[in-house]
Amino acid sequence: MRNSILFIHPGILAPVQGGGPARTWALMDYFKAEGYAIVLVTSNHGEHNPELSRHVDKLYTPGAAQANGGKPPEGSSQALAACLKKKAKEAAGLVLKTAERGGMPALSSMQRNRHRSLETLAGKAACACRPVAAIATYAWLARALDYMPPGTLRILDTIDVQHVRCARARQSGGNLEHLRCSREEEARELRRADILLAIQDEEERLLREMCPDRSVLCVRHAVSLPAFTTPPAGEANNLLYVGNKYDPNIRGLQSFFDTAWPAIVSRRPEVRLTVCGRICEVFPDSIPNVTFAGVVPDLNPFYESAHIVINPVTYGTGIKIKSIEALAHGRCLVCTSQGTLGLGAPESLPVVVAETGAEMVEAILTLLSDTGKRHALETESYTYARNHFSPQQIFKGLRNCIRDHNIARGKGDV
Amino acid sequence: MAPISDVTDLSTEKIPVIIALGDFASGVVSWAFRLRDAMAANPRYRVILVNCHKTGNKIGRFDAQVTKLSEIAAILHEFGRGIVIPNFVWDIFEVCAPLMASQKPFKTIGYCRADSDEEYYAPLSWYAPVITRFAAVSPECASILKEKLPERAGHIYTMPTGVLVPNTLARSWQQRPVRLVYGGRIVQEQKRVLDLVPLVNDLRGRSVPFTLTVAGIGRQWDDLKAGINACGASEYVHFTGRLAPEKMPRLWAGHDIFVQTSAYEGTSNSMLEAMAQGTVPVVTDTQSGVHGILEHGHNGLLVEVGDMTAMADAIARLVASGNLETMGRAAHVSARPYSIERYAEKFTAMLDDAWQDEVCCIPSGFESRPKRVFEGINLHNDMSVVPDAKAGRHSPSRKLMITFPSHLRGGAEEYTLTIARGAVASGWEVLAAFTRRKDTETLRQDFKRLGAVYHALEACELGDKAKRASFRKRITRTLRFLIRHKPDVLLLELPGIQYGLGTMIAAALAGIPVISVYQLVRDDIRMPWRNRLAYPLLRLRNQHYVAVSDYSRDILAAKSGLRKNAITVIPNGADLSRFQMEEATRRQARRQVRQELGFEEDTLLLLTIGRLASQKGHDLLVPVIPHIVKVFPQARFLWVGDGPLQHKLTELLRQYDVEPFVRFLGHRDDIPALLAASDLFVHPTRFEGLPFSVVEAMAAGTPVVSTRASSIPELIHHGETGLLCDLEDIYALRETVLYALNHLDKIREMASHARDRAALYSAEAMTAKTLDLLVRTIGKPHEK
Repeated sequence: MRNSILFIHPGILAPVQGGGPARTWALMDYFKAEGYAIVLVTSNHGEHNPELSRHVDKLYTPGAAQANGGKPPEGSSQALAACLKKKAKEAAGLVLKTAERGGMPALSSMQRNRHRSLETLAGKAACACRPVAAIATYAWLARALDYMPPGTLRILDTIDVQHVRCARARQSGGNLEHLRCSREEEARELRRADILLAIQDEEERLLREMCPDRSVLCVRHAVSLPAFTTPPAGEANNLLYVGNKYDPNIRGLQSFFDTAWPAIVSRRPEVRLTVCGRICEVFPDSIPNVTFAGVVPDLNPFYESAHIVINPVTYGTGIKIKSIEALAHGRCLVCTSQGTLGLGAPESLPVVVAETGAEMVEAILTLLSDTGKRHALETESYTYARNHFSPQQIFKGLRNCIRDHNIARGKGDV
Repeated sequence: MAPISDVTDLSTEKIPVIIALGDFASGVVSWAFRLRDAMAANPRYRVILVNCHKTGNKIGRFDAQVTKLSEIAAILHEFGRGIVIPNFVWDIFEVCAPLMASQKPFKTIGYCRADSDEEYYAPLSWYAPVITRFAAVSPECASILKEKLPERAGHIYTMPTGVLVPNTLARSWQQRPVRLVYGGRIVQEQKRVLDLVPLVNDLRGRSVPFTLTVAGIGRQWDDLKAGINACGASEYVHFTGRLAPEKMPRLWAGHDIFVQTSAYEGTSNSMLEAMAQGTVPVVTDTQSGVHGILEHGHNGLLVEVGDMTAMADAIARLVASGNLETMGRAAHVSARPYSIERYAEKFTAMLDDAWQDEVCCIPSGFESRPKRVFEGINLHNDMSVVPDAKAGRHSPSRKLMITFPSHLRGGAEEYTLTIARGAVASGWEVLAAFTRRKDTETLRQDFKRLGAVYHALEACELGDKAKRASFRKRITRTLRFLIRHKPDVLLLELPGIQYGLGTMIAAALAGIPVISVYQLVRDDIRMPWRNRLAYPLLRLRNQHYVAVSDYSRDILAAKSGLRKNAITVIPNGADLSRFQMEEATRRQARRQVRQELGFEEDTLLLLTIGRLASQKGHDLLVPVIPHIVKVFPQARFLWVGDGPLQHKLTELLRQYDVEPFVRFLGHRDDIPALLAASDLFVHPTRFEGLPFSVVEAMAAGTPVVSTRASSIPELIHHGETGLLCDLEDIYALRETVLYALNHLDKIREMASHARDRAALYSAEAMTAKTLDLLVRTIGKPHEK
């Protein structure tokens, strides 16, 4: 019988929206290829549940959807429950705002983002499959690890150091108050894990400070490289941006529209920007030369047809997974220095860094006009991604930890 | 109304059997008429029916009507002899007593028609010297009566009832719509007729096509109609009002399912009548009158009292199964042993036995003993030998009524027993008034053993929409109850801040002071705005509020708007003497408990006491257990208590593969021994008032690991008198328990400090403070 690894993820995994889910997918795919059975506990994805089920060996979701196209039948108790839950969340949001206005202490993100149903479901899944390791994502899901039976290696993939995110946002004029928590609160949650995964070096250092009695591994983001494809021949006019509805992304793209895009369009009227992801919900359709594609089932065609990928993010923490994905698709990346966070030493990065709107305009127009430079950068990007972000390299340390744990508990290798 | 001599022929030599009852539309009346018809040809006895209800002989088939004791005395005098059978008219025994004492040829039969202390067991016990023979309508009632009157066991007959059973059934059954029928008194206290509202609602929710006919009258007629209207079901429900007994067979035969939602019964006449006509009974599983008649799934269906979801489910399944006719025919066959013909034979045999009894056991001084007023029909007392029923109450110096809305037995309810015990010992007359259910049966018995009198009283609460519609009626009912019993003070024990308003308002209207004791005050529960508005006004009517801890007081003050100093803190207390043991006794208890449970001497016992409900957090302990037993394989978990989650917890234990390490002990009376035998008391609770179980563990010197819920930090000082961990934190609970087991010496030292601290939480102190407050409250008519 194969050993299994239990993944516990609170957000939307399908369709993939944002870096966190992409990272979890990368981990699941890697360990699946390594021969582990993959058990996934996640929120109910409705019509996307079958898609999730195909990718994993066993899927656990709260309140499994009916066979009716994956959606609960209208008028059914589950549909009603889903509606009520939505209303309850809205009400809770109102209560939260009211509480905050009333001067009452607001709930921290550790309390607010708890998923009790996923916690108990994780326990149920763990009892059924007896995994060698359980990997929970985000500090607020650490309590799911409390439900693991003895002998399970409890791993928390932090993705970000949460108490720092909120502080950084405030410093940059952003608003991530819904992620607010104190260092002590976060550390208390993190200690539930045996191993903490940091996504980049600085965060590894921070986590070691917060939890000196816990093992911390730096496990950067990995991408499975698609086959290298060249962008369409002919005039280069296609720009691409991919992002979730997340304050740093929103501010960055807004800044780009305000300070760079009008100039780009006026000097090169044929240029087109395609925006993919939930960030599209924030912007109006009326911006000239911009197509808001929204959440798409497959980003590959968009990468393949893009000449340049932009990442104008102005602040943040962790690692810029969308930048890595741009490199992995062998595309030219024009981004701010924040957009290179976690990618490696800045001097060796095959990206064009532009901080201001004017710099963005020049960088983009230059690249669009210079085919040779563009082609060279594309190749460099792909090579860099292959050398630095392949799952075999990135996840090797984690794999060894899990293997060693399994041997220690007497179950042998995979 | 004319005396009986104008109606009947007194020249007969048949011995008159005078059955006195009230002219209700009830099964007893139907029984009486059937019996008279069946006994018409009896050569020895003649049944005379006397209506004692003031509403009069509307159906017109009674032989006589009386409204005064003198009138019943006159009837007996006219006959000069006979067998008297009062039904719910207890005063008649007072009239019979002097006749029997003077050796006049009168015998009496006392009927026990329901499993009810205040309605039957208490008055039958009281009048036992005047009763020649007893008839109980079910084996269960007979058994209880024999326990109460062991010296009369040989005089107690089991006489279920007699109904008309046709030889063959000439009827049909239908499923769409299925025709439901309820026949009986429209009252809540016994019959729980208001449960028909959620039943109807649930059936509509399930889209089961149905109609419901309600036949009968009673106090809750308006409430029931209002409830049905409020849930929009009036087109499905038809009220017939009173029906003459001869029309009942046709009523039953015209319906498919007989529903009954009673809290208790004797043997339900209506149910058997309906079964005799092939109507399938779907009824509540009362302690008396069902077993031996119904076989679940064969000739009827049983559900728990109060569980209307289950009843609706049972009806829906029955309809869907297409077994109505099969079950209806089985019901008809089951009713045959209860035919009126067979009944009349047994009845005659009982009369023979009574009539031949020459012993008259009325003790001297029977007539001069203090009189008691019982539930039932009270005739106007116009006779000098019997004190006025209204005025003839034995008046103690102080009368305390204890009431609470809950219907389960837990720590809060034990609190009321402790107070009652103390009050009785201090010379108070104590009335206990709470709902009558299977789960409160032992509580009722315990109150009785203390010397308190129990009365069934449904809580007057604002609940669901249907209840709100009849709130005014229910306040009126509670008000009438209070006026009738006139306590000097009411102790209202409340399981939460959202309860009690109806009772408080009724008491305010009745001018009765109230002490409301809040056993549980939760920070996350909102106090209804009505309560917030009412509390300051109720204080002006001499109503006071008690919290069981400083934490509870602070929360109550914040939520109610009351000042903190307007709330008295009386911490809960336990009977500490039970838990204080010599070392030798402790060691013996340790050995005996392990032996009893089949454990080795070195087994580590981790004890948890509490209801198996979400509040107590057993589910949080389950994921901890595998980690504990991995390090301490000799550890075993004992869970004392019952509750709704036992099944789910068992499944969870199986899921974590730790079922063999946990023992469900249910309700136990040997808590001191269990605590003495345990190495650790684990309390993973989510919220509490001031938990008795923790106080008891401290008093027993058992080390305590608990969450910091509610007021527990007032009891346990972390690291000094026990260990505390964060709420709902499995990791913290695990680490704390592991720490405790790894440092048993340290934690035992904390336990010895805890024992000293427990002395502050004695039952004596709690009772004394409470009684003192009660006395002061009576002495102060108005709070300024």
